Amino acid sequence: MQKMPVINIEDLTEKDKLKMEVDQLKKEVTLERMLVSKCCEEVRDYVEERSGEDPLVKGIPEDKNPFKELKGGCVIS
Amino acid sequence: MFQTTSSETSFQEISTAQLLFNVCRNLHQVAERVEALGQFVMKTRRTLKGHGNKVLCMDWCKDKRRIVSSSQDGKVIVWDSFTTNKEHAVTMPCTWVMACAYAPSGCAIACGGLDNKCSVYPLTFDKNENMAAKKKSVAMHTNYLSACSFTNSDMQILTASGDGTCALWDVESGQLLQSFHGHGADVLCLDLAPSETGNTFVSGGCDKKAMVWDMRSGQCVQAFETHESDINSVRYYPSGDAFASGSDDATCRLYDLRADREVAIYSKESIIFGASSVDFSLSGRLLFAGYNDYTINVWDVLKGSRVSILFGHENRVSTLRVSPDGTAFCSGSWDHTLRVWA
Repeated sequence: MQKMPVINIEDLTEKDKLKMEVDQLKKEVTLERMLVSKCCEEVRDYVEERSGEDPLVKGIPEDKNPFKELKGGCVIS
Repeated sequence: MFQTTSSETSFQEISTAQLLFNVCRNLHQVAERVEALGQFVMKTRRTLKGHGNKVLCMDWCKDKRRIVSSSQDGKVIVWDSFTTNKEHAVTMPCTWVMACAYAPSGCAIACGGLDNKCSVYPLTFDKNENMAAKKKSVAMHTNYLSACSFTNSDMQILTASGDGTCALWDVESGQLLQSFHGHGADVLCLDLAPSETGNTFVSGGCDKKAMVWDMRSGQCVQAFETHESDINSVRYYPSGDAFASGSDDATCRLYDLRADREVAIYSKESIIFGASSVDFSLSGRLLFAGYNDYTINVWDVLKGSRVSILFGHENRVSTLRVSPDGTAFCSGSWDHTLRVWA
């Protein structure tokens, strides 16, 4: 069984951690970003298309609910 | 950003520019005209009792009825949530089993914690077989295991640890396939992207950062640092284009991966305790979050409002997952119980 190549953050100095952070930021600078307004509209559309079929949003009729109450007897009305 | 090029620029121009800048900064503004949800009544449908101490983690089986849970006392239990029967139980050699996961096949579970390892146990219905005897140690970290998850198959496991790293392991050989370095402190949680969107996962840690990783290269592709405290839980949005996080700063936030920023925050002045665990409903309309004040808050993801607050647990809610078909969700707590809500 293989052990992790040793990097335990407790052993790293502040300087090491900051260097790691800067290296990471350098990579991220080149990322292409979409407009927030467009992304949010897509999230909203995605949800609206599907929320009608979402069991926890629309509720489940008691008789179809797999988690309906475990009852011993039955109700006679 | 607008620029004032001369002192003649009118007040009106500046205000319009500011308005445009403010218009689409978050999801709630875009969703203003979406119909509000009605009042919810969600109840506890099952209470799973049997753990002798704090429940720390749980996971659903793909069959939508079995649940695995792990506890501070070292016990890992597999339940049938329909009947509340315990189907399997194993005692780990360590306390604080902080992570557990169900294999996609339903034939095995993985767990670990203060032992710094992630172990896999095949599930067998043979009464003569001792589950503990078949245990396979897969992952080995230099500090506690905080989270684990099988990938798309039973063959690989992704782990997160207090040693600041995440790692991908081959279950059969125990070989380390890839390691992920970048967090500046303990990693507390992880979640795999929905399989359609490819080979990435997100992790959250005590360095207040959420990081998205490419599983093949081991590189961090995006990082987000807007939380003000430890991130306890991360969960991908159903489409895979966003993820939610829950933090000790008492807020939950939504980050859009394509916009590369936070697009929504779920908070209230009255909520001052940390959020320990978050998950989405099937469509992504609802965000369920368990808190250290013993409650579960249900948020309207689009509008940012809280639609319901669920009481029932008698101590911190430590873990929460929606079932695979979205018909219910399960919460685990330091009150030793798990509850299934629908």
